[in-house]
Amino acid sequence: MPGLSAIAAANGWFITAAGLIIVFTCLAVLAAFIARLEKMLFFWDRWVAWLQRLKRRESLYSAPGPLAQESPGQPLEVSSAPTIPLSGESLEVYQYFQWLTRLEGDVFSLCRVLEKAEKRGIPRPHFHLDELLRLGLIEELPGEDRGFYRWTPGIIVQHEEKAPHGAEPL
Amino acid sequence: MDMVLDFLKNTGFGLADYRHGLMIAVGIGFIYLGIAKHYEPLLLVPIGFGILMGNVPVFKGLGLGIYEPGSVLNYLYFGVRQGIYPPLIFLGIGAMTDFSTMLGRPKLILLGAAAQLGIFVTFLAALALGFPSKEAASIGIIGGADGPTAIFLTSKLAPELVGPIAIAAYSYMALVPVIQPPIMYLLTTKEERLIRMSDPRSVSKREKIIFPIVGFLLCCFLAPAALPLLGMLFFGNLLKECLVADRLAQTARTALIDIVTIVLGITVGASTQADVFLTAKSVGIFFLGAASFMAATAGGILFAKLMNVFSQDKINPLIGAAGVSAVPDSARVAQMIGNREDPSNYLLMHAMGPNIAGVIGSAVAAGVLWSFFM
Repeated sequence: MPGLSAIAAANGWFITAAGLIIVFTCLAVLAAFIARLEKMLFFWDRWVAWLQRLKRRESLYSAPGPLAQESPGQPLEVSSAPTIPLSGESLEVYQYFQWLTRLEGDVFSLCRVLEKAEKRGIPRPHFHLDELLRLGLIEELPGEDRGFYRWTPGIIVQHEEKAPHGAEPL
Repeated sequence: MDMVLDFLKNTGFGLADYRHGLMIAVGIGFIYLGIAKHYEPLLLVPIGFGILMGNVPVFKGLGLGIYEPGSVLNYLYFGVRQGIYPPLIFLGIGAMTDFSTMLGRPKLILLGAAAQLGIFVTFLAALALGFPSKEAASIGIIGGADGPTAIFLTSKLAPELVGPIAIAAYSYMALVPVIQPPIMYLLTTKEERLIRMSDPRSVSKREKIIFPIVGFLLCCFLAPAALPLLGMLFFGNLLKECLVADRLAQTARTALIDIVTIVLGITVGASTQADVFLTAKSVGIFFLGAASFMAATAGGILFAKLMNVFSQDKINPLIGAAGVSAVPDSARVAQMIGNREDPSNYLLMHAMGPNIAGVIGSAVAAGVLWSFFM
């Protein structure tokens, strides 16, 4: 019984339609998940960071040290992280690059960030990126991730007017 | 004198007929293509030698032939009949595959789905030609251009066709550089072949570790019958990406996959005994297999063109042809054709995305077909 009737008799049309739909659905769901994965991880990181901040703050309040008892008017968090003062323009560019790299994830490629910065019309992006690298605000990853970069953790960036006395402005 | 004559009658020379000679010529052809032309040598050389082993005429009842219970080859063939070897090969493939090009540009995964069109078109064609539905499904899977998947599904649905289908699948995989380019030229314009694609984003280690776990769960919840193949593929990839099980990953991508490939190649080759293999059905399988492969290639290319209609970020349609799996040969062909038009246009990295998605797609398609005929 060859021909179209053989296809109909073996439910061929149904199997083909169902098969194609399942294969497409499966891979489309996978693609949709992968496309959102980076963003999900970003929100996860923010959530974890927020929880950690909350825990740190709670522990500071629940077990006040001698410094907090003696001078209640002083701020509770005394940071020992290095502070880098930037001029107004540099600070703006720094914030712009932070925004650009946020879209890339924790780890980013400098070429891609440069390409994006050029597209968005940031003036002299090479110069600014070089300054950020020179100041140690961006660092290259070690080992097998060499060639990729991230923002150096634990560095505080402030406007030069608000920076502690003695820090050299950019 | 009678003893000498009896002995001569029982030698291979005495038992052979023209069909054995033909199959031995096919085997030597496979070995030649593998060694001299470098067409998939890791597959064609063992299969070619297996064809030679399976077509030395032997006295029936001595327990030597692959179909004789108790013979050494029959024991080794057990792994093919029961679909044991294909998942082990998928484990090795997973442990050696870097999914980052696919993760960096997830929309290319759809090209891997589109290329599975060939499987279902050929399934319909085989039904229309009068093949029983289980055999039609096994023939259709040749279009997935994935040898282990084709063997796995055929061993479940039509075990008697494992030989011809495996030989057809691996032959066409080896002939990717010959079959695909004419279709690619036919379905694309010069302007389309010149399209340059932007670089995919970089993928973090965490994404690479999460992907095999979530990918496995998503695919297998939707198509549970794909579990043996996809489970091993994603498990192998997790071993590779998690870095803490490097010894296991190393074994899976080297020793294990090599051993299984040797045993699989030899037994699949030996299963092509002339009296079993040289039938009108085998000829039909070869023709339909070629059609399946071509339809799969066309499906990927046409879908890439369709995506370009709706997308701002243009895709070079040549990489659609890589959706037929056949890793990495079909991606290499996309690179080769793109490179001919513009020597500074590198498509290989982009083509690897649909190429790997094609492996997942064909495994899902095999699972779906199996579940329909269980």
